[in-house]
Amino acid sequence: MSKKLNTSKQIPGFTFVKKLKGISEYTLKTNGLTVLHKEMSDTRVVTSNITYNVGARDELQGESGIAHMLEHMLFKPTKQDLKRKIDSSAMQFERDTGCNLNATTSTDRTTYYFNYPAVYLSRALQIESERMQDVVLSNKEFTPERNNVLSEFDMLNGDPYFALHTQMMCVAFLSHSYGHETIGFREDIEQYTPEKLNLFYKNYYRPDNATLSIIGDVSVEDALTTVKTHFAQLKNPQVTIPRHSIIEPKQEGVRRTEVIRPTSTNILALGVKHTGFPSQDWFTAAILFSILSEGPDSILHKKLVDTGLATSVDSTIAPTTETNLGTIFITLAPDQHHTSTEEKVFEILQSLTTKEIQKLLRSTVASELTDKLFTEGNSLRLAMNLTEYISANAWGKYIQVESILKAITVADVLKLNKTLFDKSQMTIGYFIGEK
Amino acid sequence: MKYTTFIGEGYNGGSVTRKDERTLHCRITVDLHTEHSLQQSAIEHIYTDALLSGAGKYDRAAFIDAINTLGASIGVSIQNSRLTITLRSIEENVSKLLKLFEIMMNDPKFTSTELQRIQTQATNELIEHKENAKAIAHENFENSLYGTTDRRYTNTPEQISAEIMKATSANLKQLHATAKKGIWTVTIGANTTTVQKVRKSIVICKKGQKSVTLLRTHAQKPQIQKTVLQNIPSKQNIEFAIGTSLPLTLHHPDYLPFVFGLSVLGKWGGFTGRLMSTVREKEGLTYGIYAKTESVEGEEQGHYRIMTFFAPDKAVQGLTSTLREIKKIHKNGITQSEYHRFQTILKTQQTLLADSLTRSVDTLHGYLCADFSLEEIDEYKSRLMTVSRKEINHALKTHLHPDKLIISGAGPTDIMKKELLKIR
Repeated sequence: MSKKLNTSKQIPGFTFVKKLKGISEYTLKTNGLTVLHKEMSDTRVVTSNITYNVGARDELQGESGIAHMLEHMLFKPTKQDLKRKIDSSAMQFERDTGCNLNATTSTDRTTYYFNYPAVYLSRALQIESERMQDVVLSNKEFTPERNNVLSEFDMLNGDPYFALHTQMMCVAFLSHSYGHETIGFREDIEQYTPEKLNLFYKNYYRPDNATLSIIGDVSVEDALTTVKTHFAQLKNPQVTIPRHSIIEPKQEGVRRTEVIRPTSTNILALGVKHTGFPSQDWFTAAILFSILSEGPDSILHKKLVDTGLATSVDSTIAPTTETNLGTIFITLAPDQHHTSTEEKVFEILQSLTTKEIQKLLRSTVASELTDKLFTEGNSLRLAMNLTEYISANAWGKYIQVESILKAITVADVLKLNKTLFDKSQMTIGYFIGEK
Repeated sequence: MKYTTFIGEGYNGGSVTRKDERTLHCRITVDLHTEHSLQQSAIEHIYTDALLSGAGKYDRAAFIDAINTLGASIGVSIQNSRLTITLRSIEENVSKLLKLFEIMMNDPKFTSTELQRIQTQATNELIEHKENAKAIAHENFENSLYGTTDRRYTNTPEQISAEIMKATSANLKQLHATAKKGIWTVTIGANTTTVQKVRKSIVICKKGQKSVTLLRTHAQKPQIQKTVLQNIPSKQNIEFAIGTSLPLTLHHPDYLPFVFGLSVLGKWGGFTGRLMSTVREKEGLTYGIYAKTESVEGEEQGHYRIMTFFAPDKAVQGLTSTLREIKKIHKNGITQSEYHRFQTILKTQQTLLADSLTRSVDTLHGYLCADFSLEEIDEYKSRLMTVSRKEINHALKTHLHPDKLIISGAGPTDIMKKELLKIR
């Protein structure tokens, strides 16, 4: 980690916060918008990425997926677009220029990005500022877009891993709002109204709940001056941002669930509750998952796939700020059974040795650091990676990743393995294919 | 970024260099195709795993560990009988990675123990494949366009599985010998010192190999109108592949105008194509719908394909809308404003490449595999900017063939089978 807090560049209208490894943080004085900037010269390309601290965790029961639905609606016309008599300036931007744009929603945050030739910086930021508060959420735009979201839901739900994971999340969380997938339930999506969306929009889309990152071939002066032009006039609503602080009840024994479909696929999934991102334990859990299930040299791959007991092994662990469910998926080979495979997996997990962990820990950390270096040469990938740290209100941790990973020991991994795979605290899912 | 090309003994290629670049991204491709056969297909299916399953003094576990310890990777894949090896590393570990790559290419083991493992694993994966609606829609689509001896023809999972079980180490060695003798296309993204290191490594791999140019069989079928449906009841959506043969090579004067016109219809990725504006945005019938040309090469003709999916209850409406858009652009062509807009879009895509070394290498590699020189790449790109609207509309009119479309659907098709078969 760089210990040096580099000297700031004072930019009128902004308060300098800190600078770490070339990334500067400022706050826009008029409304508290956080701005990150990193210059990557000689590419003629810029990525601007805005992250709102709102996601699926902020949804009320019966409104699951509304954060994601709203994300779709931010590509619809704003009040300004209606005056201009155009469809949507965000979409128009892509259609006119060929820039890359997209958005993602997770449990804790919603993020929008544009990746474009540097000459379009002002246009991109103008669109971002206008759609922060001025999207017109009318039935005309809402109804076909909801159909698209339903289509997206069906696409995801056709995947057995998604279907099983959805059920497992419901079982794993009795009370906490992490207990549903970001896209929500189909039944809830069908019940949204523009009014519900509008309320959600007004509550969470505001400058003091957002971080704008500008990465690429633009100086800090030019970037921030353009930010000021487009964002300084935005105001925060008087209301306090609603937050649901929910403490998940204690788990008292293993939780199980099944999904049955007419297919030949059979999956065993093991869900464990890991601590929030970006704690040291989260990184250790991510490394443990990788050691167990990522790639042909991972332990479960060698002992299950190479031996013909399973077809594949995979895992997912999300960088969420609070305790969440990380899951290992094992797709059974034909003629294998869920219960015997489950027993086998626990045997493997209980007999991990220092020697095998040591070797894999070294290579997993090396691989993560290589990925990080590849990321840093690409403004879009860097912006996307930073997003998770921004969401956790800890972007400075991104700078520390190398030291965090290198500090993880074999003993840490073995200890966490024992804690996480304590069956009484796990959620176990069976996807059962019935032909 | 600086682009250069080079030619060596048994290989040719290019590089994308950036001063002070600290990573290596390299792609090596060799075309193995002669005549598609079930046996060849099965051997190719397991060769990618076999190549990474031990070499020199290393058994499989030790070999993979040696690569992973570096934080590097060697990826091996085969598509349509083209083998591609991808090398990725940070600069400090490039020499060690290249040493492992050389051992892999010069002394692979292909042991019977590993072969048995791969046979079991591949067979299990092929059973899973039967549920992959998107892949199946694509395969059935291509099988409707190409004969069994063509590289784009795919045998059934059962056929391939049975053949995989008959494979021997000798088969793998024979395919490996073909891979070594073929002309390699090598594209390297790195700093100039690393580029030289990779080139030396290629020379070591190709040493003593007499290059062979293979005779290739292509078997494009005559264009017909056909709907192929495969019922996969466990899926929620019906995946579609829609399109027809494109009897053009890359160098045909109609090809580039056609690519331009097809982008207007359904540019791959993003929201700019007409299909995304209408079928997705205005009508809300699908999450994604894109069009592109595929497997059109310097000496090989290909096809165009529209990829999308619809919920069963929206499939008739979705297909009808898709066909309406195809017919509309076929009849009226692209507008003047679309013509100017897409010129800008295509130019932006070029600019954005500078943001990513990986994407720049992959793009250059695509051109080099099609035997383009840097001058030809520049000509090709500038032609994309200068092609006229008249040429584009002529190419669409000549090659889109809305009356000869293959519509291939996979998913819960039985629910709507009768209705889907009626759509033209």
